[in-house]
Amino acid sequence: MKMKEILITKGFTSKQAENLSHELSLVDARLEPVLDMWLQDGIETDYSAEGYTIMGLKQQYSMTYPAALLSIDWLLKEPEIAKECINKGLR
Amino acid sequence: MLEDIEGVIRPTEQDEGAKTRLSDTGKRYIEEVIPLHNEQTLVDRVDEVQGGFPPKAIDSDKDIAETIKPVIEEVNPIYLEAPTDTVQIEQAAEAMEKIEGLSFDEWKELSFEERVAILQLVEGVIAEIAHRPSCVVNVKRMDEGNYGYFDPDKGDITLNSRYIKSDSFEDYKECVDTIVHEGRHAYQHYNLTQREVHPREGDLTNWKSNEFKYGYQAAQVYGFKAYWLQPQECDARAFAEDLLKKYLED
Repeated sequence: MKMKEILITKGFTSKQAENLSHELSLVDARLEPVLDMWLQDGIETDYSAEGYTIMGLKQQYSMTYPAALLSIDWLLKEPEIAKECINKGLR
Repeated sequence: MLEDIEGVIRPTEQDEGAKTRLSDTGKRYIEEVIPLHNEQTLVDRVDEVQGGFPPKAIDSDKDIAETIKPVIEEVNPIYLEAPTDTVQIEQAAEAMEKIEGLSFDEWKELSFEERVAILQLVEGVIAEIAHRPSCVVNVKRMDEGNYGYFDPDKGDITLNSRYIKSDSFEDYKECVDTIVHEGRHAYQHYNLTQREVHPREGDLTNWKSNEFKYGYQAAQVYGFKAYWLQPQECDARAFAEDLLKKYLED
């Protein structure tokens, strides 16, 4: 099943699934096994970067698993910018 | 009885992109309700002549503005073009300086309820300057790092009580920044769904693209990067940063 279709089965709208599948297809190679496990088996595995974790972000900001994973992806790719922005929180 | 209004401004394929001028018929159609001194009737007439959704500020077209000049003082500002952001920031900072209890020295001495009331006042003055309806300000305990949000369905603002209760200067700044930031989202929403009062077309284009083409990128769904980089969030952050800086400096 394509990623977009899997995301829809997990409760995302078609538009959300479209946008997310594009972003998720570009995640850092280090996150691919973690992403695959979630997509295939629904298992939420933790991963840390720059002092943040997927599960920590998920809880603190009420994020879905892919949202938290994409945030960790940003931390892996652009640590300084991502840390500065995430430290400023959500408004 | 309404006269035939053929010949008033109606966007056509040929007109797209072209500057329109108020026709004589359109002008008369608006002029005929001016003696009634009825705001709603006037607004409805101008909206009909201008067309489009959401309607524009009734004085955004200079010919119409000239026509309604005799009664413009009677019109609620939420129907009129807002000041530029530079002027909004200047006026808002000035208005905030007059709010008793808002300065940090005063804030420190206030109870939680009094602080919430002050933030409601801030929202009120900024809304008036921005030519939009003001939002009810609610409070709720949230996790750290969650400062607040604007709810577009309810049209209200919710702030994290954790930061309002704190006596630190940093948290005080976060509270003021957040009320301004969320108010800016209310302004964006007003322009996108109720009436275009914002004077800068480029901003409106970006907000529309964000909202209707790509969809608002909530951090909870799309993660921090998409949330952070979208036009509506960049705009709200910039506005709040500039206003807070002006307020604290003056």
